[in-house]
Amino acid sequence: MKDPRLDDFLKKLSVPEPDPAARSRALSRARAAFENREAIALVEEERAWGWLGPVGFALALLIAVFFLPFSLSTEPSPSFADRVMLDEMTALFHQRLTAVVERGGEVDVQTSLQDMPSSEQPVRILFRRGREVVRVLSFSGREVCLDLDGKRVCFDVLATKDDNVILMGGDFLWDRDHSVSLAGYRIEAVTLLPAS
Amino acid sequence: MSLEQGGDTELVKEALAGDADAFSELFERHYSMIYAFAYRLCFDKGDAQDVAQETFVKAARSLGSFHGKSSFKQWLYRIALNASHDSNRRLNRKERLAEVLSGAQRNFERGADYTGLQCALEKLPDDLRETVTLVYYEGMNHAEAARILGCAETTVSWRILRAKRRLKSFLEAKP
Repeated sequence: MKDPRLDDFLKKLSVPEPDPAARSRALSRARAAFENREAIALVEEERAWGWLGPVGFALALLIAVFFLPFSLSTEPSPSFADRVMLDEMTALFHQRLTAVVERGGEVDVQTSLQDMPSSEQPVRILFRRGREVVRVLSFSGREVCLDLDGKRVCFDVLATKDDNVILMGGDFLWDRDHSVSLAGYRIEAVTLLPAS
Repeated sequence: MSLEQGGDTELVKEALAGDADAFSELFERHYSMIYAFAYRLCFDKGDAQDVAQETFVKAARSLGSFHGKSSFKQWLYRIALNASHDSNRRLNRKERLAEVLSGAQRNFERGADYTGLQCALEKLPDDLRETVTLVYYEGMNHAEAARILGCAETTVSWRILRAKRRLKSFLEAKP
């Protein structure tokens, strides 16, 4: 409900007339905006979407900065680097290289006393327990031995033609379809692609 | 139907079809109303002229987004309200208030009887002043004001009550 008294008092506040020049200028600018509204809308749309490029780039950079250290701290996927490392070790130890074992940043090279038949099927095996990762680079047909939680574990590595990997130990058998844990470690094993 | 005889709806349709004269006619019909509305929101002639111009420039650019859900007039009020918010943001609020108080003092010295009211209105928070302006100056009911302000009708009623309480001291001082 309106208050007539307040209404009356408010109406005493007069509004000065606008300048004719200001009114004319407003009409001229509004009419110009009306006649160019499609072009203006196009420019504004481009402006509105234009920020996506730089923002997208910045976002990608941010993601890379945040996630790259994590990806480096965890184990790399079957990669070029793994294969290169294995090739370098093979060049050093020729056919006596059994495995390269990396644990907590320390690398242990396992060799045999005798030459072994060459293998074209390099394999990477990961043993994961929490944040701990033991990485083993080896070849199909080799026997690898390592300590897991104070227990010495030995197993044969076998890569099949369909790139499946089978690990055969004294009391366990692992493949991707029959995954087992070993001393609390989860096993992942894959064949490595050629380095070149 | 001629431009002079046509209602806002008809003129808007013609403007949407690209008729610049129809848009000019809409301008002529509503400029004074929007200017006065802007003046009562900012109490400065120059600012009010700027807000009114900005309102019609924005209306021209975005006429395609007017779907007739509200009246054209109400749509313009809403644009003017937003333009006045932008204008207020650009201005230093304290400096503007000092100017108004200084002007009020000059008016008081000249014996103008609306000085106190202007000061009282200027001191109202923006939301209350906008509501009072729409209801008391533009003659809208609470539902119409609510649509323009983008709030509930009860909110408008509540704001009017609060504004009247704030203005009470002024009203009581005037017999």
